[in-house]
Amino acid sequence: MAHSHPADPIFAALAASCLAIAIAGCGEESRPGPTGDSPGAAPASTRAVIAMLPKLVNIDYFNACKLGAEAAARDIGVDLIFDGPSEATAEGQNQFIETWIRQRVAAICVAPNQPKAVRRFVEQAQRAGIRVLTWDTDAPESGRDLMVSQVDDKVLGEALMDELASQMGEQGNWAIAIGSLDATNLNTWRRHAEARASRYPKMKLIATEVTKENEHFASQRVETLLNAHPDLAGILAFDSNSVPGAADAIQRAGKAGKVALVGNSTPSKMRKYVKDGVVRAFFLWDPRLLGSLTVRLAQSLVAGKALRPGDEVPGYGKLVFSPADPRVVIVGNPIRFTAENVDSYDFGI
Amino acid sequence: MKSIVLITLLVAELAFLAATSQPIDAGLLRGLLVQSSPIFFLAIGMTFVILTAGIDLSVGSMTALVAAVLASFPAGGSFWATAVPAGLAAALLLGATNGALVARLDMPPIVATLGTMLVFRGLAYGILGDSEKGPFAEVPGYFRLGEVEILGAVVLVAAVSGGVLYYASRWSRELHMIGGNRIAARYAGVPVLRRQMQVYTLAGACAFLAAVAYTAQNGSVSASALPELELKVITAVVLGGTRVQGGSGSYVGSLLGVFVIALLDEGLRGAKRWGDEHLPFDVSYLRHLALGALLAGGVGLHGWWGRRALRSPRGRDAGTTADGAA
Amino acid sequence: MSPALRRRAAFLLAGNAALLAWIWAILEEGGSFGRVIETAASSCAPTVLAGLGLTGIIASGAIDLSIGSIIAVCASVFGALVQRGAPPAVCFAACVGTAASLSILNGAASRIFGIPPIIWTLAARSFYRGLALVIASVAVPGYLGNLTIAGEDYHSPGRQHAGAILGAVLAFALAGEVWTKTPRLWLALGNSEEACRLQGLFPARISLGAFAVGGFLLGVGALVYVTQLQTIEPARVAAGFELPVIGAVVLGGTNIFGGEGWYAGTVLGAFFLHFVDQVLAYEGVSVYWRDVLVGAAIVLVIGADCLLHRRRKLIEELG
Repeated sequence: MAHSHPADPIFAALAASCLAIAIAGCGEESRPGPTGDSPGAAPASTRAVIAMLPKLVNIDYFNACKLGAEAAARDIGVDLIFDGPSEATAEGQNQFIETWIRQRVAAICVAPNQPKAVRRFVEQAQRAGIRVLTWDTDAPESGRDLMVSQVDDKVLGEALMDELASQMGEQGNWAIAIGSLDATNLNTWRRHAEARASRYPKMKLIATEVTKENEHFASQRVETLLNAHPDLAGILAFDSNSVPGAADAIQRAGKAGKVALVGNSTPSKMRKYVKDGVVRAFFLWDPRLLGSLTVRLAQSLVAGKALRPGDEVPGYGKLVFSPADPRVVIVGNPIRFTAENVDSYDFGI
Repeated sequence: MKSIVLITLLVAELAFLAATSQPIDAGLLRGLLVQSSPIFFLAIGMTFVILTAGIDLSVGSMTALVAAVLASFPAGGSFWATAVPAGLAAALLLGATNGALVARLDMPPIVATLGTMLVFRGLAYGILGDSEKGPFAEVPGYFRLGEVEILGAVVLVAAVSGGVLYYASRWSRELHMIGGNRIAARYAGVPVLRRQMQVYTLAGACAFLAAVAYTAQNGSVSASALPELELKVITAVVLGGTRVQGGSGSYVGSLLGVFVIALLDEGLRGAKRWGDEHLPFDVSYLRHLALGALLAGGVGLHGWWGRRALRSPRGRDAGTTADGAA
Repeated sequence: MSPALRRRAAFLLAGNAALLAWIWAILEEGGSFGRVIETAASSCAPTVLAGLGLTGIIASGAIDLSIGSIIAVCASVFGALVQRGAPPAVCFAACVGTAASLSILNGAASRIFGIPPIIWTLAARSFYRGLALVIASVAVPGYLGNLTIAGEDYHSPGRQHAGAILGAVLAFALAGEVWTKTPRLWLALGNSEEACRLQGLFPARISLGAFAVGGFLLGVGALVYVTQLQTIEPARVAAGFELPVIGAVVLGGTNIFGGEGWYAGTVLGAFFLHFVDQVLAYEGVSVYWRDVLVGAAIVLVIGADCLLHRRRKLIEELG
């Protein structure tokens, strides 16, 4: 036959035998590691390994978190693996978690893309004796040991809304530009902001644009938005790409000063717009501090320390927990940037 | 010998794993099997599609859409009776849509499936909207499907049935003929349009299996799930030796190709610390470089080997399809 | 021009006019129609320019799936040079040159190694993305994931002159299509490589020419695209860019298998897709449904044409 090769059945047998080995080995629950230790323990002689999983890699925000995490890891003497998928997908992250479970790391810190999808893998990791934290975005129903949240979600949402309202004179039409409608942290802030908007009855939300976390796309979308709604007086943007994209669109349309723009983004992206007067204020937090505290708390959990409000964490300060959830640590308050102070912070981004 | 290339790649990857101190054990094989099962199922269907000189760029979006359909049913015991048949029906319908565009409307497959890729993804967004839906956790026994015992068995059954279909059926031989020379096949009495419909519908059925495997492992689906899955599937199939011009292929090669890519991904995932010490750049960049190099290298080797075989006395007598170049 | 192309041209012209009329009708008081046209030119410029390049490549029987990643490499090179303080002209030239070189590499390598262009460029798509990341991390000290382009003069091609650049390049391209031999050779190659060879032409040279010109046009498109950005993120810049470009080329009437194609069609196709998207944006349709409708537009337009073609093709095949 022209389409099969005489050797193909041999390779089929080879593949089938690999399959058989895999299935045959499936009865074992956990196997001792090379040194015979039980999984997940941090033996006194070797350093603990802490794995951190951002939503995706090669993004400046998460690279800044990495800087903080690496500094903390050096400081407290643990090995850090900071790695993640190239695309913000749930399955990409889950595959990393599985790899790390096999490598028997001591703790996994994940910023989940899809909170529900990560649940099974959190359980799997915990069964293997690995501590699991979430950071940057929460997965509250996954059974994670701790959540390290950069800000109190309600505080940020309300701060954004209050700032927009004050710039708009508490009246007029406003719109939302958001990276996606399914990113948990962005949408939690959005919901808090929308709830706060009920304090300003003369302000009306007329459109929600999804920018797919792409600055260029955001710019085009907001451009169309501005032209479609000439009476738009304000925009609230919710991720570090949407804000500069919207600012660019406002500037190109010549509406700087006429359309208020508030959001959370990084100084490096917003510097130009703040200095040009397109944006009066934007918010952020210190991503390095987020990364650093996550590593420190992971190490505390691995060492078996209980964490209580007011506990002193060396290298950080006193722990603050969220009033809404006793297993959520709040790193700090949102920082408001304006033209005056945008240069005085060096977050690495 | 198409599979020699793949075996060599597998050995090289295993060597890389060993060199970067990653354990090679049954746990690794289990993990690979489970993780790559969606691509595995899709590769079975894609092999047949590419065999007919077609292509299906919409498989990723189709899988996401079928998973979305599954996720929109309420959880509970009745899930098996309502959602699963609905999902299968949806998958077959989507596959048949592709088939209708290619066969009935005579659209070039790459264009038709490019369009349906966008449409299916958009429909997934339409169904799921902004949320991540996961009723699967409350469906009794669903997660068992995602574990290696049952999933491995399903994979084995699919692989064997696909293999029997590929190597021993007249249907498969007719697909080879369509891919080799469509006009000649028509003259030879092969019902070309019907076969094309069937092959794209088969791809749809494979998407159903992939969707079940995906949701059983991950427990939920969002509309942005599985981006660019089609490119990974096509890479695996082409790496396996199936020619994109159609008419010649290797089923076992496709399955090995899936394995090669899954092992590459796994090896690079575990190599972060090695990469930090030895590479002047981040190991995640290596993932892009390695995949591209692997695909180009693999296909190049297949072509070179094929042309060598042509020059041998046996090759000249046997005669093959047109020259191996573009 | 074949009757099918004429039909497609008429449809696209009428379609574009209808979409523009729709936008004009629903524009509210204070909305500027002039801005719609202006932004159409600057938003579409990269897609149209890349599309012109891709038209030649597809017409000659090949394809290039890696154009998004090529733009990423150009962006990294551009960003690295800007950060090192190179003068704008050098940065612009480097951007265009990188695209042209990589495109020529695509054409040459697929011929030399005997790998079908669709496969080679699929591999290149991954490889060049990795290359863009490597260049950025190695060439830029303190690289953290994105490159900021500060300075107005670096932004001038994309932000101030996009329309002019598009117009100029388009004029040259159309003139070249009508008055030079090269595009006709691409069509000949796309129709039948064997026939070209028997005629005494050199298929390898013709193909490489298509990739070279395509690369240059892509480079200009990359320049416009990259200079419109404030920050460049090599991991994600121009990801998925090839999709609307291929859509525009195919919608414009170019045969995906080669042998038939024209520049004006690509331009019309690109604007058509853009205006479909714009109409949906102005009508307030959720962004998620827009993708469905753009995909459906591609399927319906080309499907309708294929449907009309079918009988004739079947007779051709069997007779």
